[in-house]
Amino acid sequence: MSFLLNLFRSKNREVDVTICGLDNAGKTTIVKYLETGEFVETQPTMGINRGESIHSGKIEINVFDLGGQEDFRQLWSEVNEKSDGIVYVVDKTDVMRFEESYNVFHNVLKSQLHKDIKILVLLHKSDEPEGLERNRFIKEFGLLEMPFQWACYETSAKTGENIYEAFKWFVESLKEVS
Amino acid sequence: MVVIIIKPLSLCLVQMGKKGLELVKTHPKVLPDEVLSEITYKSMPMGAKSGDFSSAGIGSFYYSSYVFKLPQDEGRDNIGTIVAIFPNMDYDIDGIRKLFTVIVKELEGKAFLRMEIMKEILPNLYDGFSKGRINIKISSSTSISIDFSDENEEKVVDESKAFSDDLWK
Repeated sequence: MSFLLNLFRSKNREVDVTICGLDNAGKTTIVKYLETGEFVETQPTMGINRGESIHSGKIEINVFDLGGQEDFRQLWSEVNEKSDGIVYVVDKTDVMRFEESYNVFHNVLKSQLHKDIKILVLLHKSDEPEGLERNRFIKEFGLLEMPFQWACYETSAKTGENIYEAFKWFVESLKEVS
Repeated sequence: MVVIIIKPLSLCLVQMGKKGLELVKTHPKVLPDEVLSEITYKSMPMGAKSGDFSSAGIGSFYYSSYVFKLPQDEGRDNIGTIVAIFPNMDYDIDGIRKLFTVIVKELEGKAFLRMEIMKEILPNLYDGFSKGRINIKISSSTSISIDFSDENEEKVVDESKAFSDDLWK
């Protein structure tokens, strides 16, 4: 009986997604928002956190939340190389670390990704008034020159702004691969 | 709280810094730098969060560490660990867990869970291990007192349960 059930059961496809970005960019807060639907105060991520899997149709998305501190970035490549998609989070208010974030992001693009990967860039903490504006960010962060399928959203885990829309795009783009 | 604890070789405080984990203070300074460096990185295992407790060995040393939340004046909370290092495994691991939990809870309850305060009280804490009693004066009006070696209390062992457990071994 179980053989027949297994035969006709629609097989779920698993995809791996990593969330990276500088420390204190808001990565874990986004993961927590996806899990709970609300803003949750977080502490620094120690290395790698395996978040709860997200189910969307026949896709099961395994989320790997990567610690952003410099010492942990050496762990990223191993996870990113196997990922089907990455979410790169930038704190829009942290203008002083924009260049550092740019360099880290482009290092990930150059050395850690395969060509079919989907990239979601989140200009995060949009509830704060100051910081980079999306159109300028897209140009200055070099997104227009990227040879990958990508999207960029301004998001906030405090207000929930665009989180659903951003991940809807991401999940749909991941489905295209299946 | 009845806990029989042997004095550790050293106590360490570790916190998440800008680059990664960093050693904040060790008392007394008796361990080689390479051991301290390894302890710094291993005291907080991957995915660790506040309240986690772990024990492991490094070379000929053994340690137990407790992860706690460090509230910040601005921005998100940080995380840190308090670590006790021993020359062998003959120490009361559960006692260390209870002791660290109580200390952190006491400091948190009095809004004194700050790395600056932890640094200040570390020598007191270390001395408390040999006395079986910790008395920490944090301010003119606040002090923490923990007695963890009450010699009048006896350890109660349920012999029947111990026997049945043996049968299955």
